Amino acid sequence: MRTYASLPGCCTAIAVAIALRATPALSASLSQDLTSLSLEQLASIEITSVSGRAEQLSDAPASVYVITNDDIRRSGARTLPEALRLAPNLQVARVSASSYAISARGMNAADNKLLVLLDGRILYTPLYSGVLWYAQDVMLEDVERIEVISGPGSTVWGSNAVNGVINVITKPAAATQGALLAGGAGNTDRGAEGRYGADLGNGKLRVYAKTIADDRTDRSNGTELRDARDRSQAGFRVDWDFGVTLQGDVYSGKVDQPNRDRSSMSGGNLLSTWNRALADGGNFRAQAYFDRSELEIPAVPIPQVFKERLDILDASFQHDLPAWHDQSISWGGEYRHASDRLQNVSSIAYLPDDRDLHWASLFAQDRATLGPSLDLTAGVRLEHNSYTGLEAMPSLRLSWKSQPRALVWGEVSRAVRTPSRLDRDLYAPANPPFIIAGGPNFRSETADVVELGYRAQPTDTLSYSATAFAHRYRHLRSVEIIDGHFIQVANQMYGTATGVEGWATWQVMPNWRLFAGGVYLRQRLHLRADSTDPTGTAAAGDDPPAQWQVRSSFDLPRNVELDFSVRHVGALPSPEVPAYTAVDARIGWRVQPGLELSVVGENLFDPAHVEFGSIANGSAIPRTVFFKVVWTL
Amino acid sequence: MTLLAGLLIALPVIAADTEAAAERRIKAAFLVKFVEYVEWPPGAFTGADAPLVIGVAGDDAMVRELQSMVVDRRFGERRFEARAVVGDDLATHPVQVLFVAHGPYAPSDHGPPMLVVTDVPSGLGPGATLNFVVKDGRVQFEASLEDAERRHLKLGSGLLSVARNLRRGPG
Repeated sequence: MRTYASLPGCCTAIAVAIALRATPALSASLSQDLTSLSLEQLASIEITSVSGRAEQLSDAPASVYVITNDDIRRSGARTLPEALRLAPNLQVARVSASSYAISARGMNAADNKLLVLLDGRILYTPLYSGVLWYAQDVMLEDVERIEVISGPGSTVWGSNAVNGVINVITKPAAATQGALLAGGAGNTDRGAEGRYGADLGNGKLRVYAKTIADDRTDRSNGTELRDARDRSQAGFRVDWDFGVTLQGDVYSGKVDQPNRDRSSMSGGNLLSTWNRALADGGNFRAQAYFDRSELEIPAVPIPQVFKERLDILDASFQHDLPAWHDQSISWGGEYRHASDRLQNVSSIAYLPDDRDLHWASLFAQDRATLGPSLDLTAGVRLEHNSYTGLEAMPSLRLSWKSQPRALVWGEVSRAVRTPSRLDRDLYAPANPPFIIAGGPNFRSETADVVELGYRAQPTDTLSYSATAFAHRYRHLRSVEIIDGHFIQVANQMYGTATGVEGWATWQVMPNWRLFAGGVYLRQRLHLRADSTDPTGTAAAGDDPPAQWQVRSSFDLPRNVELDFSVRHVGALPSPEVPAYTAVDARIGWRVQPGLELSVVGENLFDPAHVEFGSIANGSAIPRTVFFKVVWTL
Repeated sequence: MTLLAGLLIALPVIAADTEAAAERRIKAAFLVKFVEYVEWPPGAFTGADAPLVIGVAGDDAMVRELQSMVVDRRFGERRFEARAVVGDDLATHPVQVLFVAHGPYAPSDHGPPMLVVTDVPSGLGPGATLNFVVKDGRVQFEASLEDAERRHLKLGSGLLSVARNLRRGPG
């Protein structure tokens, strides 16, 4: 039975995650003195980010929350996953010093229904359809915004966008000219980073490098875990005046493992985008990238090591046709190829060791204007994958601008999660007789989703959004005992998730902003009557029934900023984790133009709490204090 | 209680942080920053300690924005002032920077030594030294060296390098 118990954890074991603590820095704090900025910096400020984003987004018929650069800076977040806590429509649980479980609308234990993109590069791994958060990082100062869409986005973004899409968008190089140095240290982590931006004459360039280190965490009872991590990353971006962008990153990191070795991860990527406004009023965009990631995890039995080298090549295009008779049509295609090379260990293996996978898709979408304030958007993506062949992901959206500053919208759609290697290729042990014998019949998981949303900006100082949703899941992953003596991965689970999510921003005074948001989720998962799954439904859903957060941002005299946040996450059912409430505070002081000091305290009124997994053996996330200096010149 | 009551009364009139206001604030910051990159000819100021005046034609909200922005701000030894330009009072009350909020600049004479900044989406028109354009949701500007020369202004390289579009002289 031990094998049974460890199966749901096998993804976690492979995902032994480690994420990254970065040090944020100064960006244009727009409520502050704009005249302290350079002409170049002024020219790079997005107007919509000043006005509090509602204007630009109020037309999007989806549940979208946007995290701005300023939000990240004022949160004191030092890693991408920590910054994602700002989105009220995401569940972010820190599993250890650097690993996270992140999802939208539940299913966090399955960790496989979210599509995460960084400047258009897909971050989830085809190994298990989840994101290795320790392997992904970005210099948070260079992030322009993070768009968090809860709900399906498969028609536009492709498979895996079942419960949400996260789009991390970095600034153009023109907005990061000049030099920036930042460093910080606290009781649990340290980091340093630098960036330099220059004018090439026919374009703009930036280069950056960063390094971080996180201390190990302890269990609730005070005993030590071995999960300390350090990581370094460097990269560049060039935006040429003729519409081409070239960017890339390299990284390397190590994480302590329970068996006294360290796992290591490294990789690099190169991405190019070409954007062209067409003479007929349309727009054409093409993108291609190569992404290599390498992973080494010490395994049992010692001294075996699990190794992976994953190379992904992706090319896509999108053509927005000029509007024609109240119709706006977009279409595009994508081809993605993954070459996965493994060195398996004797206890557990993905077979065959080497596997090439591909995804090829075409999509088309039409937005029809039915009336002066009524839009209908219909679209479909057809995607072909190596495991299940062709999958269709349709969606239909209706949006009605009931008043100039209010939008009612509804959507019905089907999203699909196509199989990962974990679903099809997992064997244990590596040689017969197998206890786990893959998932030869595993098919795609599907979600049929209905959403109804309302978003409004009744006054210049108040905006809010509320969305009700219902997901019907079919063919969810289960593990089945076959003939009483071995296990296969199958699709014998189904269920529903219903709930509401919403948030509101109130600019109480020009120098005081309040934000509140939350989610109520009711998730019901079941095994089919003929299922023999010994682990139950806990392997998929381990989500809080409710969570909420409140944030307050003050601009005080003398260039001092004061931020508070209170975040409550309800209890998790299985494994049981009690509810917790975390209070964070930050004080930032811009001593002079270009020099910012700040101190952030996280989890202030709680010595430590477990956020996910085993209450006895999991990491207790401690109280932290972090000092930071950011110098721009 | 008095403070609270005062706040409640003041709340409705506190400037709304709308997109238009944000755009205006960014443009105001540009206007204030531009002066650091401009060299005026002798005689452009009425005296050694005369203030540097930013005149605004056609946008009272911009005047208020500028006035709040230039409080305590100095340009060398000079104070800053922002005022609305009404009718043709420039001859009697010269300004060093003129912001024309709507429409192209219609010059009534041939170029006093002032930095004329327009806000015309279609681009730099005659008589304008700089022109704001909003591109991809960002405020940018174009510059006319030809106009600057006619007005005997020297524009610094720090300004010219950020300009999106640079119009040189007819030669």
